[in-house]
Amino acid sequence: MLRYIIRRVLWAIPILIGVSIVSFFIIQLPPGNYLTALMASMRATGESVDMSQLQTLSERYGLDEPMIVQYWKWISGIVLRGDFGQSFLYTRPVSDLLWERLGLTFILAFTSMIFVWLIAFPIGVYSAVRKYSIGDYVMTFVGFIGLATPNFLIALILMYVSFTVFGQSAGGLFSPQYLDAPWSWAKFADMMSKIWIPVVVIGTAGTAALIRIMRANMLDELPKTYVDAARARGLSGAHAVTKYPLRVALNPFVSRIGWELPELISGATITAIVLSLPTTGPLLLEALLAQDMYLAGSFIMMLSVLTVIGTLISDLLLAWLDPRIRQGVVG
Amino acid sequence: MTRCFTLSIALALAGAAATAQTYSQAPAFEAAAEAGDLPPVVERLPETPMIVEPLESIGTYGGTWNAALTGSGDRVWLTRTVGYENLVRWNPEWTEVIPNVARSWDVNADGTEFTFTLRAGHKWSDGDPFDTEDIDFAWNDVLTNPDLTTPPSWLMDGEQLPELEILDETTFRFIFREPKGLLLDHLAHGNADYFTRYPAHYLKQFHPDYAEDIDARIAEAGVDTWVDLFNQKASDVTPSYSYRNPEMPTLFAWTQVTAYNGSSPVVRFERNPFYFKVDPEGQQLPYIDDVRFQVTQDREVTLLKAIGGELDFQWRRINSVAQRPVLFQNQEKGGYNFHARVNANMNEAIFYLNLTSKDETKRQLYNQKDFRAALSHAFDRQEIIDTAFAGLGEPYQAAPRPESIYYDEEFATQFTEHDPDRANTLLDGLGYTKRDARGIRLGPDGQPIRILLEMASGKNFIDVGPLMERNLEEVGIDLEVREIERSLYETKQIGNELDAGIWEGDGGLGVELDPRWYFPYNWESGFAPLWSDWYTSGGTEGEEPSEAARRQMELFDQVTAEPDLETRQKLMGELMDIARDEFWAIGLVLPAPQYGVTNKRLYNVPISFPGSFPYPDPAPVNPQTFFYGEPRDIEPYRG
Repeated sequence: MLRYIIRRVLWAIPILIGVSIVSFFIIQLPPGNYLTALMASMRATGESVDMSQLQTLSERYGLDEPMIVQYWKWISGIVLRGDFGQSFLYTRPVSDLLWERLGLTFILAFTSMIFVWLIAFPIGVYSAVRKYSIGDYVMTFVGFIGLATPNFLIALILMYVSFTVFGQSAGGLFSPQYLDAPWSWAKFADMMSKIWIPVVVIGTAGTAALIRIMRANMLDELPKTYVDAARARGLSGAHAVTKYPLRVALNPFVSRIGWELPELISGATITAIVLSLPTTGPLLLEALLAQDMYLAGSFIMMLSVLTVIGTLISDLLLAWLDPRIRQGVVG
Repeated sequence: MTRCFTLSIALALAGAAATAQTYSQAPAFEAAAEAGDLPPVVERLPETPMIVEPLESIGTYGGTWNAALTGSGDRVWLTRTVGYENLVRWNPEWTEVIPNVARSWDVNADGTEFTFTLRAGHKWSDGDPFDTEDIDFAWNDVLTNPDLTTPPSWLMDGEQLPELEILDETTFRFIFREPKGLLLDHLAHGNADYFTRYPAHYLKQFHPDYAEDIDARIAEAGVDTWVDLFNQKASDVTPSYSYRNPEMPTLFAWTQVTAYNGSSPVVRFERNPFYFKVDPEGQQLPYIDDVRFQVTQDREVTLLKAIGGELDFQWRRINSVAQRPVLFQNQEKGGYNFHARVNANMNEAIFYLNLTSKDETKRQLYNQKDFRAALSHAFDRQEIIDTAFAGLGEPYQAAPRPESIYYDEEFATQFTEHDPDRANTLLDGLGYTKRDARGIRLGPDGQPIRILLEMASGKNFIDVGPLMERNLEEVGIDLEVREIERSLYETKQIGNELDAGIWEGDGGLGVELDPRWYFPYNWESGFAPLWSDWYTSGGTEGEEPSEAARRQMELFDQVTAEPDLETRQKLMGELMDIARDEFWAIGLVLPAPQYGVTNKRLYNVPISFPGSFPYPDPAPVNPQTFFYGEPRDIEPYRG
């Protein structure tokens, strides 16, 4: 087991180096740089653009230097000093910007994850056990609708409904009067009355996918002989299902943790923008649009690190859960 | 100029008269002053406060102005609402420059020396005096410090720096070698806060020439250089004021409480006890207690907030053609009135051919005025208006707006009629009568005439492309429309790589400040990048322009130097006549008024005003005088 862990950790290092290079260079791929993006946005708002003044900015940010020098500046800061650099857009350290938004991002992500599990788990099992029943068809239908409808559309519809039917203030996680108020029960209650929209929106797609995975796995397991054996031993239907095939079917749930972790940080970007949530998602989009390369690069880097860590955790969990993986048994 | 000067004297006299009367203040300050927490109002105001005549009536104190910022790049909305305290400002009608932070000014007969007088006793929002020490600091330690920035080009004396002379605590003088006819207009521009945004007493602690412990401060702030530190503390020297640091004192009517830095869900401003303006009865402005900007991430959310009645005065991000029906449908429910912005742009979309194209054949083709006129006649502008602009607007060339003093009906409407026959006749007349199998005319090189029109993504005119393609095909021209990313578009335009482009028509009003569409003025004059390079580089780069364009450049040089308003306008008029005859670029649609929402209880708000950034509306119509009263309904301005 220890060797397994060490091997996995060692493998993560070259992956991360590769990821850092790719993420930095991908951000530089679009034509222009932060200054051309800045110039464009200033033109769009009608501000006067003075070329000589922009030139001082270019020197200050080192944008004229070759790409490899810029990369080294960035990566050495991260590795040697844990410094993710300064955001051009906000003239603040990138790490400050991310940390401020992580709290609410986590709350939202955990709530939606629990929402997804609470719904997907029983439905998935039910529609496998009662395959081709009316209930299965209804659930499948609803699930596919959730999967097929783009998140932002559901977000817009729910926002409109909450605005017209419930008279809530549109967007965000708080009503206007609580936006800059310190935390209190009233503020918490206010957040709870609004958080259902993003949770449902982020949840629907995930729920549908998980229902399908759960159902497929269960259907793989149910016809196997050990299930028949359990029934033959006289175990009741429900007991026989939960005791054996369900445990096997759990594997994909666990391996999904690897993907959930970066999602926690990226904060369901599109949904967050449509709903104006104070999470990290909108920050990433703005950074990309403005070509704020340190902010965007560090952000993508962090997402990648989390994916690697998440995959590691889920591998370890799987190894712990399933002896076949632990011992490298094939098949 | 003479007119402006007389006015400033009149205001100064009015100011002097006002000192005899007593000043009053908001109730909260009344209490604070009585308790001794604040100096009395008369000590907080300058000796000659600026008197602002409210639009409708004298107001009463109180209330909050709710508005919204969209995303974290929306700082201009702050400049337009709470900012804009330059040395001088535009009057509400956008017809002349009036005093603001500077109480008066004097210009010598040559237009080379500008002497400004500040208001004695004027204070920053922390109570520290604002005087020529701050001007000195702004010029010598910030604007001309090459590590931080450079002065804007309109403030330069050719290639050199002008001389700043500090005469006493309230007077200073700029001396140029060449006449600067447009200096005051530039100083009234929405971005020109260069002399009134750097409080020396606060910022010196972050400047290495003054702070002895600068290294410790750099380390404390966690930045690499003093330049980063200074930018952080001064809310960005370049490109413009960014409202990041609420600690820094300002001269604004409301001082900032929370930073606009990507982390505050609300950016709040509250009444500045040291604000320098009063109403005619001596009440210190502003009337409204505080301003709250919710920060949304998306303009649709801002729109929903507006129709939900959450915003008291707002047009920003809710005034697009597509959003307009939603605003009008929900007026009843949201309970708001409308204010109209007469867009200072003269065009929604100007189609321009690159007259200095790298391709010799294209160059020959495009430089024929008849060719451009033919294209102009080929466009069905009414169809474009109905399809892409919700039926709003009217056919219009790249010419000054009807409200402008340079309005010229012929310029505005020439070749705007949809007339394919006329277009065909013109093109036949040029000799391009042979066509290929698709019916596309063959150009001078025997190849089909193909125009590649590139459009920057994310703009209003994206829907226009297919219509233009069809219109031109009818007269035998092959137009290919391609959408490219905005900054790539700009890079290509600067690099003279566009074949044809399309952009909004800035400079419909305030023509002298932005004449890019009337002659090759700067890189934004996309119809002739090499000629504008030649002009901006003083003849060292680019390519020598056509005779007409050179004449226009000479005229414009005279305009910028001419101190006398009337002569200046005559020269500019001459330049515009050439622009009409040359017909550089093809305009399509004159923009219709845009609308924003006004709370039914909000008074002193005009029902219409010009909209632009050189005139950073609504600031010139004095939001400090907005106040809350009894609700009322106002018929929207229809233009």
